Amino acid sequence: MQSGDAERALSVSQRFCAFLSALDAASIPISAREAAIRDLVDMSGLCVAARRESYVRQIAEAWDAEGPCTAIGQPRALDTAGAAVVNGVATHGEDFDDTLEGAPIRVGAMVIPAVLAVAERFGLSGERSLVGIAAGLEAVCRLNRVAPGHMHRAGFHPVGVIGALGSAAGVGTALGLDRDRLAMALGIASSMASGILEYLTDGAWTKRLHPGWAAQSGLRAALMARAGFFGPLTALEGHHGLYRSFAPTGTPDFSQLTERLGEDWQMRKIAFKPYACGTMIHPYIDCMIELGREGVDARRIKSVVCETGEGLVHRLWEPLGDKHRPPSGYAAKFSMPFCMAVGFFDGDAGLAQFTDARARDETVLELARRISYVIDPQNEYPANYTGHVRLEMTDGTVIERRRAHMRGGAREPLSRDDIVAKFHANVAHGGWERARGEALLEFCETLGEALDLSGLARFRG
Amino acid sequence: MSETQTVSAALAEWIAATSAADLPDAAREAASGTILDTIGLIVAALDTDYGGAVRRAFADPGGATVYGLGEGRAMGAAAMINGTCGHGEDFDNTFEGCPVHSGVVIVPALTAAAEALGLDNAAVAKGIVVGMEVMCRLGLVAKKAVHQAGFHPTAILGTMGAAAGVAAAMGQRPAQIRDTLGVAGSMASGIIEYLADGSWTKRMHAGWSAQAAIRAAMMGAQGFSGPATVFEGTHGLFSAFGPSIEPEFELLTRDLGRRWEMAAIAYKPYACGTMTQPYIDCAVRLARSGVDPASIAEISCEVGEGTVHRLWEPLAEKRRPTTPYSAKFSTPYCVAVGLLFGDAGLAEFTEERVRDPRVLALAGKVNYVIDPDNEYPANYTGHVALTLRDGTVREERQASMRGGAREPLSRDELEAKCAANLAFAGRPRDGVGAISAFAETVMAGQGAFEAAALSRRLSV
Repeated sequence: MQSGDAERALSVSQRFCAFLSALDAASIPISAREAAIRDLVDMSGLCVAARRESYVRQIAEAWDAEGPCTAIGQPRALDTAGAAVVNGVATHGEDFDDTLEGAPIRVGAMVIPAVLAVAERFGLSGERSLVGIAAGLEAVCRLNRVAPGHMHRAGFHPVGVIGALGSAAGVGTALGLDRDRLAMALGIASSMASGILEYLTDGAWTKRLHPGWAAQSGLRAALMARAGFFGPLTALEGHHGLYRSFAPTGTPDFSQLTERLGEDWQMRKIAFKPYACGTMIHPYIDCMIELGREGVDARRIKSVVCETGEGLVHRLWEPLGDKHRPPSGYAAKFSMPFCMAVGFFDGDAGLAQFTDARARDETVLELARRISYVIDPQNEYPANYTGHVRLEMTDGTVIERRRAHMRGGAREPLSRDDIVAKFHANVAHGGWERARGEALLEFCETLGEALDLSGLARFRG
Repeated sequence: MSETQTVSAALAEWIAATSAADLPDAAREAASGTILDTIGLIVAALDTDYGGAVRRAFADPGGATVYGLGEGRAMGAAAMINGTCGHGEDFDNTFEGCPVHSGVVIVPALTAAAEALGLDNAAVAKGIVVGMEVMCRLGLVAKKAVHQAGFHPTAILGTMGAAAGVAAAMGQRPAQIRDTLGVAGSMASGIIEYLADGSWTKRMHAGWSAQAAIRAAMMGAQGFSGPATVFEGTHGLFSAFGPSIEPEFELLTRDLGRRWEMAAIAYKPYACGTMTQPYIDCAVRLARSGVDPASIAEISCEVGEGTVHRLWEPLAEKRRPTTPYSAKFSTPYCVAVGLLFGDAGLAEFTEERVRDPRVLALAGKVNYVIDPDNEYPANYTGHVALTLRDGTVREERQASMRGGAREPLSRDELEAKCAANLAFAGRPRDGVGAISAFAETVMAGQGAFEAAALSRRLSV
């Protein structure tokens, strides 16, 4: 058999895993390594920020198994799965974690908690952990571009579905699985991939659960493959494979998993959120913050109409009556009108703006009720996230503001200083002293030099 | 279910209002038989290649029982190993109406939950019956839709059924049960790509669903909120995992507590495809009547057309299956072992047996003729006609599948199956008495749940 034929005879996951299984610290460019560390910093700060939230505490306290692994900011040491679930839920819980432009998905929340837990449990080095994190992040980015939008359309949350495979890829790479074991880990993870979108109906907490559940699923899949459990090699492209089942309306583009591997590290384009709410809302908030700072008088605003991309209407605008009056601080994060109104008054949309009390603030709600949308068929969503507001004032004057893209994304990345500032704000929100935050920041930024991850235990409690 | 009530609220109300004392005898017997059958199957598979792999991967020690192992495992690990091993040989219970394998999800989930949470037998008895009932009824709602969408019904519906069962056993209030079911909907997983290469993920699904269900129930108990409309919502379970049908949720919620679907659970007498079983019955009767396999010249079976493509064709391949697993789906092979060995248990589906020249010679003589009047798929029948070398013809017919609703297996037959499974694994054959007594004790709902002593007895 010619080598070209041999290459073609391999399944998609085998070809992708040939790349992952060969990775080491030397083969990962500095820019990708830095992106991995930035994501680790952001993720750690978010874990501290959410450490007292009931949805995190409940899981951490009720988890049945203790072990050698750290859930950042929680006193109990847990087993691998427990630490992965708690860190994953805490990272994503306030919807303040990383995202991807073009094909929206979270990246770090499913991968980093899994790799940290396994590294702690099995004594992996910081360098090996970093390789695993970079591999897992890259896997999520690329798997997500195979059939973007089609998982959502079928009623599934890509964070849960693709997250399980991303976690398996990260953990399997960190553990040094060979190509076929790693491909089987992806096959096993495909049978663990889960997460439906029904939380959209009533703001249930299952959205928060998905990254944590995906993280622990993927690490289990990797450990099963390592133990010799036989998973399907054709789980990605097969007739009953992941994309056929979870994205049946799409025509999968598997070249996303085979082209320019190691040359084009897509995880370098991970976007970091300046605001603690739905990503696509951010440019709209920026418009409203600008108007608030200019001193526009809320009482004189008759109506606010926003041009918007059709794809975000069903999640962020409709049902409009409900979005005008979100039932909780959490639901408020996915209400375009609420986020815009609170940004206008507060000049920010951080964690403090999304408490349950704030979601009942009549001043904010009163402005939110005047905000509506029109679909702009030319809008670039999902390739680019734009913002627009058109205020009609009571005296008939019109004020318009636009944003050409999202701050924090590839077109206007947050700087290291921005991310560190966000990290410290999150740590403070979680009630930690600044010095403890500094120590955690240093741990993250020097992870690649650590002999093992025993230092992580300092950040329990 | 009232007009404004969600499906999960209707289920939750019924579950919370049901007590172990309300369970009818038929439901208890079906659950007791399922416990007996499931434990035998778990023990039989512990030392297989996949059993070894799942045991190595889920090695965390703890207080939860893996049936047949002397030492305990962590809660989730025990559920995972029990479920994977129980389903491993496709020899576990099934349901006529939708092929959901309830025992291998529900029994492992309730065992691990009971031990982790300190539940008693009354709680476990209720949990097993409720879990099986919800899973079977979900199967009636789903029909073929879950398979059609590329997902494994035992996995998807099993997560929901087991979550309902664990919630029931925990004595959750209706609001907690609704959250449990809502959270479970986000954990339901399992694609059927194993069909491509015979990989082991089908086996794993039962165990994965069992451990997920316990987690969902523990989260629901704490008030972790799940969507209230998890079953019927626009983005709910059925629209995601079974989009080809308009689900009739009445099949799930009507006559709860009055009609018990799980009481009609079907057990497999033989370790192979469901529709092959009545044919094996015919072969076994002919063998017992003293037919000498060497005297057989031809074998012919009347069959329903719908069974041909999976169980008969390509005929040349079906007469020489290459693996024990593919032999399970070859009627010629199954008829041949029935004639030669008078059984088609785990011992008849080994690497050695699929290369046995006596079996292959006999399987090579098996033919089929399509009977256009055959009742398949409404009923599974069997027929074997032998033409002996001296020209005499011997014929047997089986009017329905033994083990199903029309001709259930007796307790004695289930115990004999369990004993054969224990013997196959080299475990004490008389352990079956202890398993049977354990199943009866649990389902009588008296006293504490105590599985560890049984497990030690079954370990070698």
